[in-house]
Amino acid sequence: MKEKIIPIGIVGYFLLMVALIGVLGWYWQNFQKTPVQPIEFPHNVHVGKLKLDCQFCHKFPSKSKFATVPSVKLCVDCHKTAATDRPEVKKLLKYWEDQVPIEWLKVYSFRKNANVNFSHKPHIRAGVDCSTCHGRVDQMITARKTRNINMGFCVSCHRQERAPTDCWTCHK
Amino acid sequence: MIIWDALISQPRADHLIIAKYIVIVLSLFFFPYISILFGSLLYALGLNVKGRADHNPLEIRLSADIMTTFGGGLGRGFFLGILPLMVIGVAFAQILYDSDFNVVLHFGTILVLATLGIIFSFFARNYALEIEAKEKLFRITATLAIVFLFLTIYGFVATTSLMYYPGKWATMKTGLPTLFSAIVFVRLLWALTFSLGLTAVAMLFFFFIWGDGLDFGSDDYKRFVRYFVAGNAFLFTLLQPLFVVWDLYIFPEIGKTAAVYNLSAGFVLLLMLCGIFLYQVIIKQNERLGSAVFPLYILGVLLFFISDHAGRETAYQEHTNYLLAQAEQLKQQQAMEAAPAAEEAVSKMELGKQIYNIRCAACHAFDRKVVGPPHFDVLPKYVDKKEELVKFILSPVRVNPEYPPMPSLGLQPHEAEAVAEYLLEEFQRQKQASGQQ
Ligand code: HEC
Ligand code: HEC
Ligand code: HEC
Ligand code: HEC
Ligand code: HEC
Ligand code: HEC
Repeated sequence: MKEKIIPIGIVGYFLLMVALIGVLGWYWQNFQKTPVQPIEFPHNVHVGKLKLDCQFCHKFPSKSKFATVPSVKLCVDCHKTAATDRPEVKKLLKYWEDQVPIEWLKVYSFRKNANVNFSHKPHIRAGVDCSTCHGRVDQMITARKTRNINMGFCVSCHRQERAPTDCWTCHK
Repeated sequence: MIIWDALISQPRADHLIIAKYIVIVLSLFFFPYISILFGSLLYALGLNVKGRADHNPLEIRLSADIMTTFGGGLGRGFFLGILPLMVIGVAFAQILYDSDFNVVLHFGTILVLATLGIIFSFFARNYALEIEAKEKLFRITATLAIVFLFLTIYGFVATTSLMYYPGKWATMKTGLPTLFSAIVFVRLLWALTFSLGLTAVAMLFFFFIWGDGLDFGSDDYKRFVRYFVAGNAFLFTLLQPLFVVWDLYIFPEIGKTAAVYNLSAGFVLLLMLCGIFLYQVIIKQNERLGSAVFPLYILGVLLFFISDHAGRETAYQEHTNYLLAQAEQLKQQQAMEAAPAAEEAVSKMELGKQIYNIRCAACHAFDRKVVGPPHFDVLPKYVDKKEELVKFILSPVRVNPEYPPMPSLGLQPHEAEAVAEYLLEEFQRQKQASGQQ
């Protein structure tokens, strides 16, 4: 009896470990992985090569606290004529002809139940670089998440920069 | 160090691919070699100390046998340890070219530590050959070698882990590879269990299976060695998956990719095979059943290095994109330079043309609208006013509300002047050409 139980135990132990790896991989695949966007918009072409400013596309209107993602109109200003032979640009022009907005998927977001009140404005005013939170977007093909933006990350910088750390600064 | 710098120029696209394979393949020499050196010293010293305390001659004898089989020769140390490490350093210097990652400092430190470790292990081995007379010296040199090899392993783990955090490169630029975070801790634990497991597996292989094996003399001793070796190999094979899973649990977001999970799972499955074989060796008292374990371990560590590198590549992919863009630009520039090399006089014109083709042509054409307006429409107002054109190119202002604003391209003043000159010259030429038709 014992002769059988121990080998089975060994195999079971290793298979459990493989299963745990599977669970971690599955979680990443479904909940953490950067989603595939409807159009593969290359930041590295527009920022790295064409040297467009981030805020040319991501406007930070003084009333809104969001960094907006640009509308199709802005793309088409250039793409009526630029690089019209590329498959991804053809897709873009199709959206324009059909007059439907592009459903860009969110890359960065907070958990809903955390009720975070975040605004880009104070950070841009204080000169915090986009790359601190978003990584080197200028060299990314599609924007991807380079770090988990959790409370520890916000608070440790606030402490360092002597920005407010009271709960109600960030939570409503 | 100067030689290192001289070896390394801006990488081309194919250099980056070669560098990647160099890292994976040479890690497969460096890391197992250092691991076995470290593990064998640890086993030998432990057995020596314990054997004296217990008055157990079998332990003393195994300690000496381990040292004679695995103790470092200097030549072996150079070709399996130092040389691969240097080449890995050069490969990373290409991969991380023009980044904040201080490759020379980090790999230089590891190189010094590894060299010291190898030298002391060489002495330890020589003293182990005359263990009765030189036992004290053996213990001292072995301890020193263990310390330096431990630091080598730590340095290698910390340095390769730091590559996962491009955001930290600038702050670690002038520091030693002292990154200490949860991930380094877990990987260090894995590296130590791997080292002890691999050494035990290698002992099983080289004492019992490879060639004539060890001359045991007595059955007592053979049985003792078999238990010791297979038992340790089994234990450390069992421990490793814990750290592999823990590592994946705290794996940095920036490096996550499917390959990491798949290959890690493959690694654990290989460890499972090893565990089953090793268990058989212990139970059946037959070391032949373990003959596949050493090759399986090496295959396993290959999977581990491919997985680790896939994660690292994902983490610094933005830097790779940057290098690829730079390489592309360099290639275009060289192609331009190669063509009119003979005519010095036109060089400024050529520079202007080069820059125009690389930096402006994506948005402009002479006769039609691309992103910006056709040059035929806007250049007339700049004829004979080169300075104003240069000024516009250096800091574009909004002109025509029907167009998006032209971005500032960050050219040097002399570059902007060359482009402006080229543009006006070309404008005159093309205007005449179209006028004649
Ligand atoms: C040409 C327009 C353009 C420019 C310039 C641009 N972006 Fe974007 N950006 C986009 C579009 C379109 C998306 C949505 C598609 C995507 O996420 O890939 C996006 C998405 C993003 C996202 C992900 C947002 C989310 O959570 O879904 C970030 C972060 C971002 N951009 C940062 C930057 C930064 C930083 C810069 C300057 C270095 C920049 N962008 C420049 C067009 C632009
Ligand atoms: C300022 C003008 C401009 C704006 C605004 C702009 N683009 Fe582009 N885009 C270009 C140019 C120029 C190229 C071609 C660059 C090259 O490869 O030489 C390009 C290339 C592309 C490509 C093809 C890249 C490839 O190589 O396959 C895609 C896709 C694209 N843009 C999508 C977009 C989207 C989506 C938007 C709106 C968010 C946008 N662009 C806004 C100028 C612009
Ligand atoms: C302090 C960290 C931080 C900095 C600095 C920062 N961002 Fe963000 N960004 C965030 C967070 C957090 C989100 C997610 C916001 C949400 O879901 O409400 C976000 C979201 C975005 C989005 C998605 C649209 C939106 O607002 O939800 C874009 C686009 C973006 N950022 C662009 C930028 C650009 C461009 C810069 C530099 C000018 C920048 N960010 C600087 C933290 C930052
Ligand atoms: C890299 C540093 C850094 C990070 C990361 C960061 N902040 Fe800030 N934050 C600042 C600075 C600097 C200010 C400006 C303080 C001031 O204006 O005095 C600021 C201001 C703010 C304010 C306005 C405070 C006020 O004056 O009322 C809010 C709200 C805020 N941050 C929320 C967040 C949240 C939420 C996150 C995490 C997603 C975050 N911050 C991450 C540096 C940072
Ligand atoms: C600098 C900004 C900042 C400050 C200050 C801050 N938080 Fe947070 N907190 C966050 C962010 C951002 C998240 C959401 C992280 C995420 O999406 O995973 C969060 C999440 C949380 C959560 C978890 C919610 C959940 O569902 O998991 C709790 C609880 C919380 N905060 C409580 C507090 C308390 C209590 C304080 C005061 C001591 C505080 N926070 C101060 C930024 C902040
Ligand atoms: C990202 C696309 C882009 C690139 C790259 C670009 N331009 Fe432009 N250019 C524009 C746009 C858009 C306008 C129209 C601006 C306006 O009317 O406000 C323009 C306008 C101009 C004008 C006309 C200015 C005027 O007074 O009407 C000149 C001249 C010019 N560009 C030269 C250049 C040169 C030279 C380069 C290369 C060094 C270059 N451009 C690169 C987009 C670009």
